[in-house]
Amino acid sequence: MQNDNLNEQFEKWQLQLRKGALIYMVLALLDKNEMYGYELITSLSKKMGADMAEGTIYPLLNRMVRSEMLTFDWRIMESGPARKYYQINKSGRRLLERMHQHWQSVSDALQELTDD
Amino acid sequence: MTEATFTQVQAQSVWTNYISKVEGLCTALDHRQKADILAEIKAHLLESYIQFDVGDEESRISAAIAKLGQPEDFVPLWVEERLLEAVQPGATTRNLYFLLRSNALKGVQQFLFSMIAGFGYLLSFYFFIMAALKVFFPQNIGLYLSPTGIPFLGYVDADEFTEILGYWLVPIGLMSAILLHYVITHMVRRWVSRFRHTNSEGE
Repeated sequence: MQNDNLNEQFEKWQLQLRKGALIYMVLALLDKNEMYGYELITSLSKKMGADMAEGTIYPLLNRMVRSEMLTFDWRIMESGPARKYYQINKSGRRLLERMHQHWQSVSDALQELTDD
Repeated sequence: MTEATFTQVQAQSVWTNYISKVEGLCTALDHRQKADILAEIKAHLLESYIQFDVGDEESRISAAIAKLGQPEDFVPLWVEERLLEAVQPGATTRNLYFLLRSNALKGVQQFLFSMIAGFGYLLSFYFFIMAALKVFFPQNIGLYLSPTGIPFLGYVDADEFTEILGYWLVPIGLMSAILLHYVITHMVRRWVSRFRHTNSEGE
C-alpha cells in the first residue's frame, strides 16, 4: 500500500518534470539539427526513455511556432511523404541559452544538497 | 500533399476512419489551418507506417495510429492552439468568432467576457451598416432625438424625431465602427493571452 503511494507520487513528479523539460528538450534537439515532425518526436521519445502519445507533442510544436521560437517549412520528398521541417530561430536560441543556464544552476544546487 | 493508398481494404478503412475523426475535430478551423493539421498527421502516420515493416498493412497502420494516439486525445488541444492565431495580427473575423466561441465555454468569467466582446463586435457592425445605409435612405436613417430627448440611431419614419448629425453620420459612423472594432480586437487579444497564460501555469 505504501509502495503504491510512493510510486504514484514518483510518477506525478516525473510527469511534471517531463512536462517542464519538454520545451527545453525540443529546443536542444533542434539546436543541433533541423528535424521533421516524426523524426523530432521519435528522438524525444528515445531521449525521455518513455512511451508517450506522439500526437501530444504537435500542439506544443504549434505553440512554439506561434511564440516565434521555431520556424518550419514543408518539403516534398523524392520518395515517401512530404515532411514539415522545424528549425530553431534566434529567439529560440536565446531562450535555450537561458534555460540551459538555469538548468545548470538547479543541477548544481541539487548536487550540493545531495553531497551534504 | 500526403495521400495514402492501401491494397488491403481493412487498412484503407482504418486510415479513412482515423482521418475522418481528425477532420470532424477541426471544424472550427479555416480551410488552410485544417489542411495543415491533416497534412502533418498524414505525414507522421505514413512515416511511422514505413518504420513498421513487419505484418500486413492493417496491423502496420494500426500500430502507427496506436503510437500517435487517438484524435480526441490531442487534436482538440492542437485546434485550440491554431485558434489562438486569432489573437495575432492578420487574423480573420472567422478566427476570432471561433476563438470567442471556444473560450466562452471555459468558465463564467470567460463566458461573460465573450458576451461583452461579441456585443462590441455587433455594435461596431451596426455603426457600419447605419453609416452605409444613410447614403441610400438619407431621410429615414440617422441619429435622432426623440420627443422625450432620448437619442436613437436607426430607422425613423415620423416627423417628431429631430435628426442630430445629418450626413455627418457617414464619416462618424464609419470611424466609430473601425475604432470600436480595433478596441475590441485589442481587448480580445490581451484577454485571451491572459487566460491562456493562466491556463498554461495551471497545467
